[in-house]
Amino acid sequence: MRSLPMATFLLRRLLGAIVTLLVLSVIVYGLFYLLPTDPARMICGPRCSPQDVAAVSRAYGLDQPIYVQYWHFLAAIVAGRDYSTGPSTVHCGAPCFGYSFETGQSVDSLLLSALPVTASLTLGGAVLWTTFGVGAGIASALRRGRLADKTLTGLVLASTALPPFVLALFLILLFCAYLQWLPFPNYVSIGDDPVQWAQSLILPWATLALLQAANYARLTRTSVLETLNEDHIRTARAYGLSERRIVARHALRGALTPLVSLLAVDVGPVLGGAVFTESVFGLPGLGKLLVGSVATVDLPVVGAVALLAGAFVILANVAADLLYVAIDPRASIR
Amino acid sequence: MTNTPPVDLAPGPAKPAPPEPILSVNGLTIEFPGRGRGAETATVRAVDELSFELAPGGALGIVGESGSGKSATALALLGLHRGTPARVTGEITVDGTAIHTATDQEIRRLRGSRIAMVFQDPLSSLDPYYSVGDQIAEVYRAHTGAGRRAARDRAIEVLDRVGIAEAARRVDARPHEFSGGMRQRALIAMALACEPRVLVADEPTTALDVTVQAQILDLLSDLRADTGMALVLVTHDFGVVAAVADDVLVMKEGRAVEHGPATRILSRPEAPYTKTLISAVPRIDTPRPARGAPSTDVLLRVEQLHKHFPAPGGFALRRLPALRAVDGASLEVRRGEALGIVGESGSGKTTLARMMVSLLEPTSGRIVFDGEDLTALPERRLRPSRRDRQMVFQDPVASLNPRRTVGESVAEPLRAHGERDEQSIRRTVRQLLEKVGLETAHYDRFPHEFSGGQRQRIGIARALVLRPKLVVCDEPVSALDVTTQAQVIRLLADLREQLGLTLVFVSHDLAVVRQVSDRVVVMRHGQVVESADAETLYTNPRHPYTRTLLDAVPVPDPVLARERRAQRKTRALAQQRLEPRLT
Repeated sequence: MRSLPMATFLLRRLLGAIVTLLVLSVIVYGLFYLLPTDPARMICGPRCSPQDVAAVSRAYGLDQPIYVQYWHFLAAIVAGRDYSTGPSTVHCGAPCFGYSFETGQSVDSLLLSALPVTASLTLGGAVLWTTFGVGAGIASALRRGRLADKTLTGLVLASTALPPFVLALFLILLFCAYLQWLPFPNYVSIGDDPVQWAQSLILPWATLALLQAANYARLTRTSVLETLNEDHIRTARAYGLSERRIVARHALRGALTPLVSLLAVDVGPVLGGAVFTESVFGLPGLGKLLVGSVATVDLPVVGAVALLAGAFVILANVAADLLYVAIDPRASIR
Repeated sequence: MTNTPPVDLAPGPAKPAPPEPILSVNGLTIEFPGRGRGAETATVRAVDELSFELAPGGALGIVGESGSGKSATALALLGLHRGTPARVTGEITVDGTAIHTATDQEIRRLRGSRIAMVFQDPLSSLDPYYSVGDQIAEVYRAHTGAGRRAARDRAIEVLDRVGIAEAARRVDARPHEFSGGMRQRALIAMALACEPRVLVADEPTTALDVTVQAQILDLLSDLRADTGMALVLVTHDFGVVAAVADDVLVMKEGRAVEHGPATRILSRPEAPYTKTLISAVPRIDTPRPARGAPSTDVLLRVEQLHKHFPAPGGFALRRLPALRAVDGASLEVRRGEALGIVGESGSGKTTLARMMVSLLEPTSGRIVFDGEDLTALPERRLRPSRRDRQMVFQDPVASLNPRRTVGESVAEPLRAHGERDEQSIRRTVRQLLEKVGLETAHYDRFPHEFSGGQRQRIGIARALVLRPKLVVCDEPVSALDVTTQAQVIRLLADLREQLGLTLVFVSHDLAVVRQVSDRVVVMRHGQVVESADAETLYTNPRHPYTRTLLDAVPVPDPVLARERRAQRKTRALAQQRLEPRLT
């Protein structure tokens, strides 16, 4: 089977991603107009005179037809945009998502400050959940049917069944209030103090990990058991390779391949905002930003976070495909 | 070069003190516990008090039908039942090591170094993630402690020995980049790496095309002659045994039915079971009893038929060439005849068969059935003609819905074609079940309650329920044991006679096709290479490919097999090495 050249593949996926994001942007932008509120009034505030509202409306281009506004919205993302408020002109640089209705801050700066928080949470969480999940999965596969397997399977089931906020609250109560091993979570950026950064993220990481690890443990267990039943494992045994080598070199390689793609796919949505975890722990990440701006109908922020989350999901999927091809010699890019 | 063993190894009562056997099995019994925990789930005794010996350099063929315990025996020789629920008793000694008492450590050191095994499916038997060379080198290093470099060199050496061209380059290829025959060679190379004293081959050629099979069997014989290793060959195929083995052990239900020299057993079997088994083997050198005058009335005509499958890749900047599964095939099926279509894997025979019954739409070309050009008809007008053309599939397990009673499966075509009268449906189906050798009471049973042969009978009943004019059978007996195979072939012949059917019989097995067909068509690369009446084709093939195919078919006769091997060798030398076919 021939495979496509990498450049063609990437180009195709890029085109696909742009189309998907355009569709998403239409939906998001449509929200502005489906809501019964007047954005200009929201920007201006409750005590604005009608003249002021009209001025804001003009400044933000809200008096123009919807397709023109949509066009400006898109153009701003690609090329930036100038907002003139009477005498002064404000330039909003290239990926420009406009200004928050609520605080007047530029959406870009909001995203930029929230993104590192969510990224820290996701990446640390992913490392933990993969380690726990895959480890538990392998352990229970190799001890199939024994006590260790049954215990692990039970734990996995229990942690899947727990609602995330219950789990998070339980962890806070246990470690911060009762045992007092950790301070109450209060996010500190890694640049300011790496130790405090890690301390503030331990519980959120653990929460994410416990929630996701269950899936990974279950899948790893099945996958390892399946691979151990394959013919080439029998060949390895028939040729006198040691059991440890058979598991480490031949069984795990095949068993863990599908998990790599799964991991890439799972990381995408979490990057877009781990809403529950961030909210419960008060982490100022994308998820919390999203929840806050939905509550105040801060549409530019909602739209930007939605687009960003969409982009992460798409990117993660491309990464999953590429990883799969890199790992499995039989796979080809389509 | 012949493979006559050295004189002192030849079995015979007159010789003094026979050499110490390299492999001896004494009272081997293997039991598998029944599934579930109920009291009624009895253990299955797969092998029952089996004993045999093998002299150094000897070759033993273990023959049996499915369920005879032959594969379980093969696995036991390497102690591969350890760590499974199977209970193994009895004594097995390999090259001085007692398998039944050895520690796991000892067994591990033995496997691959003194006794090696080659499996049936060479693709799944190799790890897809590592190169062929890596896997061979890994085995070599595990047993010799050689360095990376030395192990790699050894891998190249053995790959070269088993006839992989350009071994030094191919050593880094992954298994999926090899053709079926090359993969089996690679597995044999792995077995050779540590120069074992015994090689166990479990159905090593069953998954391969007949020409490739001949190459692999020749290779095994050569290797045995060169290295002096003993060979245990497990197979269902007497032809394969005749090609390779000196001694034959026939197994049935876990017991040895007959054991002796291959020449004697194949020509003068003593045990009744061996007799039935051997007589059931379709022989390529036996003509079929002549039939009445051939018809000249054409029922189905295929003209310049093409079927191209788009190359994988979908949207691509440059188009990859399409796969031409059928590439300009033309043939005729005459009313009332049985037409055999033979070809190796990838020859397009199945694709052609499916187009004949309109399960696939041709890319171009014409199919004329009973005077009507089917390719010009819209689906709505095609329906009545579908009734007249039915198909029997290869895999009787996969082609029956497991959640539906067999009666319902057989009745389904009737319902699909508008029959509504329940009484008449049941009556028709019951009569048909009887006609194919089942019982009317089987109507309400489910497919898993039947054996392979019975399931194929159900498949045949389903094909006949609409009283078709043409029945296309795609490898209908390939999944069956020889005795069952013979019964199903007889059934098809009888039904054809009774119902005046026209039969198209697609198969890779030239011997089976000879037993069934009036005329035969040979396919290769999607084209018809030769077509003639069966007698002419088998006795006087005109196309070189047909000749190659016929030469490659194993015959259950050791003397003839040896002659043909010599023939193949001279021919191969004459026209250089045949490129291993990509499958």
